[in-house]
Amino acid sequence: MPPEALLQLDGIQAGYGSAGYGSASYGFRRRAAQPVVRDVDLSVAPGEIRAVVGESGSGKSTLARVIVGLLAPDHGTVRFDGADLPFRRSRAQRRAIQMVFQDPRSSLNPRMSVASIIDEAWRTHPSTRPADTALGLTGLLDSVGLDAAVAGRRVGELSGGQAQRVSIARAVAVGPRLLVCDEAVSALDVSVQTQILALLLRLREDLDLSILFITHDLGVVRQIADRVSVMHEGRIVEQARTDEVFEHPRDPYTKTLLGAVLDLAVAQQPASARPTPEPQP
Amino acid sequence: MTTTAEATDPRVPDSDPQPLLAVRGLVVQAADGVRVIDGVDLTVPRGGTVGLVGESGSGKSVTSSAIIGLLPAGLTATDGSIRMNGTDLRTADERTRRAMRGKQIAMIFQDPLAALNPRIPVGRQIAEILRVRDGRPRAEAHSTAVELMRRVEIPDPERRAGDYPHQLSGGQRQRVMIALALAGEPALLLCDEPTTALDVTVQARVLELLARLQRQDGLAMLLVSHDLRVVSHVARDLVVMYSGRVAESGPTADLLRHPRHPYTVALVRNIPSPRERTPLPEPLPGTPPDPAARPSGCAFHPRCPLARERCRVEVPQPRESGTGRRSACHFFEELPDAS
Repeated sequence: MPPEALLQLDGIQAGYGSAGYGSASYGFRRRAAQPVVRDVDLSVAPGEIRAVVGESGSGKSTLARVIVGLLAPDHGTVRFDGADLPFRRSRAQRRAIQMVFQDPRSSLNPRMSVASIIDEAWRTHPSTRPADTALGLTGLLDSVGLDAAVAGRRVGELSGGQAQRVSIARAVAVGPRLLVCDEAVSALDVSVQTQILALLLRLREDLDLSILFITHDLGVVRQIADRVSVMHEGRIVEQARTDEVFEHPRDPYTKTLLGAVLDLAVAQQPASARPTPEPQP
Repeated sequence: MTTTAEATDPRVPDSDPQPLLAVRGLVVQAADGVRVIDGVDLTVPRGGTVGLVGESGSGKSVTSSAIIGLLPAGLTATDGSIRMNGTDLRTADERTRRAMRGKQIAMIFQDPLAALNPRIPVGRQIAEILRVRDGRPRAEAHSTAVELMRRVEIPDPERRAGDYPHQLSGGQRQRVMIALALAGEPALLLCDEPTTALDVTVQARVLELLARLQRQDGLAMLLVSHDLRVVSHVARDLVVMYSGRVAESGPTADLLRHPRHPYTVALVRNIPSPRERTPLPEPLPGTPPDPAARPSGCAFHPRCPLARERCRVEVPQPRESGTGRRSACHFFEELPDAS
């Protein structure tokens, strides 16, 4: 493990029985269930885009909840910037790691205006509030590609792409160092998806951000990630530089996953147009 | 309907004088008059597979709902025709339409959990269709149901027939949906985002099944999806929709290799490839428009790199752009690949 890692997870185990905000155990007896995430070691270097890829149920979202502090791990340690990151975090620790979810219309209050959503972030972390709030808001919206006129509109009135820009603005408003994106572009139309990916790449440069990018879309991973971790049944089965994983996968599951991924069928014939292998009756 | 016996060219879907499904000039309006679908043409030849692709607000799902006659409340097909085997479903009475549904046209949806009854074993749900509609005796209906489950490659179908939907995996549930659809022996299967809710590894196998049904049984399919990648693997022809209109249509491989509409160019370019890392394409500005706020002229013009004055004022009519191809762009000849 490189000492300069921004985020370092060691031996993380967590799952349905783990304690946390809004976890399944809340108000119930803790079940001795199978952990969803097992023995996960993962690091994110400063300025890196690290992808975590897996199918549904692989544990990638549970891992995200541990990292942002919504779920306490049963075992293992989370270190951030060289110091232990406990489950109960200080304001500054919470500020440093922000999250962007898949569906901004459910993660943001649809009846709140864009301005009040950003203002709420600044109220939670007052040290990050710009001297001139109005000017700061305009600048922030501009930095995520939104017109200042959007400030007064409710999230529910915005398009999916605009709403996702708002949730990115909310996350970066408080000056985080790590952005955890959980399927942040999966629900977007492809023409809009590229806009958001370009935005994330630009923000990484401008704000010196690291990004943990959780997704099931291997195409997106290939295009933007520096390194990738492949999760399967709660474990990381393979992690390496992105090109390395795609060109020389070692784990059998990674091979299966890469074998199943669809690219645009431009080069080959569509399956239905191929010659029939079965003998005709 | 023309009855001239023209030579039918398989590469040209419109060359068959009476294709299985012929949608012509379809208009679907909301209660407030908004033309959600604004003049759509679409042809599914017998045994053909057509992919209907588009982003949110393109009208692809409304088009397929109109075909099967299940438009959401408030939407009405007000103009054009939907001819299935020559019968216009748009103007047909409810009895004719009901007779078509299931028997002639069947549909599978994105979320099989929402479409299956959670409290009835899946085998019985399939058998019920055969008993109620075809009046088959119980035992025969059951064995046919098991046979259908075998056809969609559900392992151990005798035992699985007794399972409730929640006991099956997502991929198996979608296979049950396909078996349900096949129960009526339809000529046309409408698939609305059939693999969107599935994991990649499962998705590939369900697509393979659909392709096999098409090959072996000559089942015609209309695949509706936002995911051009998925559709490109099964569909022989593509119809690309944008804002309630057809932007471009034609044979899949040719259309993807040489798109002749700037919107298709952008779609193809913006699909992130898992094969190699390339610089991100210059993103299209803006977002797909709401039909209620459809831009004047060509609906794509505010986002189009080729746009000029004519595009703002004149709605482009689809015109021939190659063998079996049509493009609704005033200036497709200027696209780099359009030679």
